[in-house]
Amino acid sequence: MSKLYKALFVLIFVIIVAAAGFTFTVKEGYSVIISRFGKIVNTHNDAGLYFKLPFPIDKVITYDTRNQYMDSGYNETLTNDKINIILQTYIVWRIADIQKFHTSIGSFNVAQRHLNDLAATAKNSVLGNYKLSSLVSTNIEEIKINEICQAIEEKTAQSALSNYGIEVQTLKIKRLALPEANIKSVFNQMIADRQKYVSQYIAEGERDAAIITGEADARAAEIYANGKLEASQIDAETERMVARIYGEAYDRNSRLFVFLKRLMALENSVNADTTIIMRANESPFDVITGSN
Amino acid sequence: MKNRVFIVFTQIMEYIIKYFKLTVCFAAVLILLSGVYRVESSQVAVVLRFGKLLGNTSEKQIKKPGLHFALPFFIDRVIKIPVHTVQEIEVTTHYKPQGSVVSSDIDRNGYVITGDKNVILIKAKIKYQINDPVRYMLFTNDAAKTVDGIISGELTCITSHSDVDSILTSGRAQLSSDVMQNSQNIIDGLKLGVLISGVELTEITAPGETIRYFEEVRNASIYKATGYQRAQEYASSRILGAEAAANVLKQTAISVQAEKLTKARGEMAEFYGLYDQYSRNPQIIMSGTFRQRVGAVVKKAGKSIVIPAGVEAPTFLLP
Repeated sequence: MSKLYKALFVLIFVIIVAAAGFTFTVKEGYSVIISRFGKIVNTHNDAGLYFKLPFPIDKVITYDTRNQYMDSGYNETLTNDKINIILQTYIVWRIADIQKFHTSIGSFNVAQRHLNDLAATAKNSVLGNYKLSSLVSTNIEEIKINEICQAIEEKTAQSALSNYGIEVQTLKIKRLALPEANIKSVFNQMIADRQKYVSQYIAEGERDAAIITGEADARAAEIYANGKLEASQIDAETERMVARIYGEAYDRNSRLFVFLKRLMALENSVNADTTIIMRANESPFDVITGSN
Repeated sequence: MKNRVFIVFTQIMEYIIKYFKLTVCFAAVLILLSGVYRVESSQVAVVLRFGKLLGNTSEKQIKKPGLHFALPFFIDRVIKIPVHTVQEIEVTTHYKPQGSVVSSDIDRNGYVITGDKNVILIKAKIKYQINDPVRYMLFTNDAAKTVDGIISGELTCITSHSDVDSILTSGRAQLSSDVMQNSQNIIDGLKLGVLISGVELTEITAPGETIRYFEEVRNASIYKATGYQRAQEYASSRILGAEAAANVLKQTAISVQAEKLTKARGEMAEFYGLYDQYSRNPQIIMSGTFRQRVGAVVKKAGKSIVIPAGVEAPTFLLP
């Protein structure tokens, strides 16, 4: 019984040693180079389990072949119209030819340095063909950012692939900046623009207000004048109607009308302060004196 | 003492040998159970068998939430990916806190140049989700950093042909939607496995050196708006006042008309009342009316003096 156990132990031990020494795995997104005494004997780009000779005969070198992101450095570049602009790009890249990458570079840091240099050279040569307005302009027709990015990308990608086995997935502008001397003049320009707006707004505000109040005054005067006109039309109508009423009566009997109107006028002209002097032999006091 | 330790050790070994089968079985069960895993509701999982992605189709590759079984840990490796969790990053490439000076050290400042050659600072908040877990997990090294770079780049490219006033005001929403759309196109081209669900421009401001002047413009524009408002208020009250005054004139004329007509009609009512009588006997009506009226006049007057017949009228000295 114990012999069987011993055999089992030995078997498990052997399996573990064999698994550790003679196999290795390649994970998805990684590639592997097998170097035997320093010489590359095999590469594996597909994930899975593989055999190898144990250390120190075979050495397994793994590289991350996933998409990598990097920012390029800042390059001050002269445009076609002799204006300095600072350009930063970002690059998404991956190892495409693991063998070339391994022999020419062998490390990510060095790869990024080389890519940065390639991009800087490409930037300088491409931007020399374009004016600043290809990068910065309110006229969309003039903007050629995509064209510029593509040209830089193509130049960088060609060299990166043929020299280092690196595939540039994309290269685009991340930042545009101006040298310190230029930025001061941009600020001055910005301030001048703003001040122009301030005086423009104030002038416009005052002009608009003057127009509105002026129109309102004119309109109000017109409304009042119309009102006045209407009122005097009504007054005229009133006089006409009153005249007609009296006229009809006068036509009926002018003597009675005049008599009555005179009496009414008399009555209207008298108040509490009036003193009336009358003769006793005249109406109505003639009743007392019996003169009539 | 040493002896005692030895005795305990041999006893343990004896137990292990005695229960060897049981120990082996227990270890085997533990190893088997190491393959059981649970995928939470906000996640999916993929399994790497000896490093290779398990399954040929994406349906088989992606394990949905629930309990799953994989081979023991040294064969299968389970990677859980939070696909339903909204991830958030803040892009501050073009932003330095308000009031800061744009320094000569390009690495320490951040801004965009607008199409009309102004400099402004923009901060953005990006929300995204993983829409392709396999591409996201296995083929991209640092998706968050890549998204940050792409968004920064698109902010640069789009603002470089927009004018500063539109970015600061009405063009803000358009800028954010353009950045989102262009960035998503680049992300799709790179197959990052990421879907941007929102680009929020949390801060857009002028640099510290010029911010005072932008404030002044804002104040001037408020001045313009309030001046306009005040003028409108003046105009409406002025017109309403004029309408009211005109109406008063008209109403006065109407009421005067009514008054005069009433008076005239009243007077003439008396005329017509007398008229019938008068046509029969004019003398009586006239003298009767005369007396009645004069009586009323005398009554109304404060003072009346009657001079006897035949007496010469006295001379009155007016005060």
